[in-house]
Amino acid sequence: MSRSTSAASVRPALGWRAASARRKLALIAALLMVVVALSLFVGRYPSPGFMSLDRLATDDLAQRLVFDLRLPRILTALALGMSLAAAGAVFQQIFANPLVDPGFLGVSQGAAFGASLAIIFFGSVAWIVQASAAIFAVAALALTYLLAQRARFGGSVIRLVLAGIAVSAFFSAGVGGLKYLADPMTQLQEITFWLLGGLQSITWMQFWSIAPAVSISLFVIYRMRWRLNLLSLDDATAFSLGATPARERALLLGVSVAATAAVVSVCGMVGWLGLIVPHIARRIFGADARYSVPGALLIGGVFGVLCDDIARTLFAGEIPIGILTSLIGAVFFILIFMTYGHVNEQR
Amino acid sequence: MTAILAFEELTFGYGSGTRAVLDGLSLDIECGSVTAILGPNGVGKSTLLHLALGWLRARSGRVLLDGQPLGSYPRRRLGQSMALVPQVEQTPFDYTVLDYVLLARAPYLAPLEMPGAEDERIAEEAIEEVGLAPLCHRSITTLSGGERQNALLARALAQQPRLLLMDEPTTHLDLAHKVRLVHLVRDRVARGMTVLLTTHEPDVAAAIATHMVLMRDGQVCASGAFADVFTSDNLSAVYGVPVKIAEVDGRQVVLWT
Repeated sequence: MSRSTSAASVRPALGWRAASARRKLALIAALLMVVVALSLFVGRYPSPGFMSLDRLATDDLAQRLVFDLRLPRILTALALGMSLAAAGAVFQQIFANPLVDPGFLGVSQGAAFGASLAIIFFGSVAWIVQASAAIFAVAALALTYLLAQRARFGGSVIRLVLAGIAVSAFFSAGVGGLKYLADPMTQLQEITFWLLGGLQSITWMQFWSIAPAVSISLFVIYRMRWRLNLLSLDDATAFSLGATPARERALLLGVSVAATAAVVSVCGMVGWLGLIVPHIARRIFGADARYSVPGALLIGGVFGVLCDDIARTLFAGEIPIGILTSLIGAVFFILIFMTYGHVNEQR
Repeated sequence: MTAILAFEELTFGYGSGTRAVLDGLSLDIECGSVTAILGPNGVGKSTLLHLALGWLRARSGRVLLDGQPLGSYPRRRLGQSMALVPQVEQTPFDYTVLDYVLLARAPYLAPLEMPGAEDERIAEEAIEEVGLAPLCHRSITTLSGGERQNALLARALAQQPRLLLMDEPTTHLDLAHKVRLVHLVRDRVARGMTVLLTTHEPDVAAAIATHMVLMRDGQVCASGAFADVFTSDNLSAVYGVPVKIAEVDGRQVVLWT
């Protein structure tokens, strides 16, 4: 085969690959828009199911319900799904491990501890619970980072993993202690519901309180997505390719935790989305983060909004969203691993 | 000839207070040369390559690239000047060969920039040069050890370095791929590249090296033009076993019992 003909035989395939990824992204983006639009009409008013356009046009209460309650809630569910999925993708790439999620590094347990603390000592005022959850989530990351820097074992990634396990255990013990102290008739219930997650109390104020952190973080992750391929390789290799692995990883982990802390502070603990969505995205788009990260963002958005739709519509009482994401996530997880194309013996 | 890379009185150990792996090592790598480093396992050959890269920092002494300390270069500039072919590399995700080789373009791109059509063309050419064109869209994790080593080589070539560092590049290669590698290195050197490689295969060194370095106990025990260093006495002394160098059809081969 001559040099020119075989190079030419590779080139059209490249264009095809990018075009195919863009087509899939456009399709999922369209699906997301449809899901968001339909979600505005789904609920239990005036009766369980869809609200008609006529009613929205004429009913004052329906308008207030849709634009003051459902819309901020749907947008927050969108932010929740996108943030957890993007943060999950970043964590999995950076830790070169498809089994980690944004709760890694003590972030989830830190947020849980912060929320529980506020519920017990500050009378469960919503904004104090949110602020406390966010502060402790970021504090847990900082603690993990400091511990990792002082650890004298392994490379930078393994040190972060070990420090994250220790910090998670520390805050998990704290949550246990707070639950033990909590008044079982009021505070314990509230802590339990917070830990199960839910968007029932979302207002425009809450949405706008997380929007800046979420949008800036997602923008940074989106723009740096190709670097994630580089950062999934070992430190020496990333270094030899001109990267500054420690600094770039710290930046990407920082923005991922900022987005996670923001959404968790208003939505409570929502598991599995951050783990499962990046897997689905890689399945559809391949491992290249140029396409799998935007894919994860869109699929995460669809998941977030759909799970919240089910949570608020299926029964008269709200189903905590954390239960749904865990259930659906576990089913997808099993499906994905039972239908992989090949077995990778490497790790 | 001028030195593209120089190690000056280099002392290095892993962790403070541990035994030095390299102890006062000095060495010049001449521009346009192919230098093969040989020595027993654990003598510090790979460590030396990581020091050349700037990834490891010496306890004392310094590494100069074109006469300037490595630390004085911006990271991306170093990535444009030097590329490393590591012995092995774990890849956690199913990147295609092309995605993987495309990473080589990172030193030429700003932190938020994506590789473009020109970068893809360079990556394709490198893939073709190492004979992996038919596997361009295959997952890297499904490749054999030898194919994966070739993918690492393609990535290093796509980095378009002036200095290519190779850590035991022929370990997993079959004979045909070894021959291809030898020709490829010769071709690149003819086009101005400098190569520094470690190897446990004297025959490979004999086929491509213009210079040779023998290491033992963290120090250089012989270095210079290949013909001067590649002697039975030197190799026997370094490895501690008797070896003999014979000439077959004008090529030097190592015999041992």
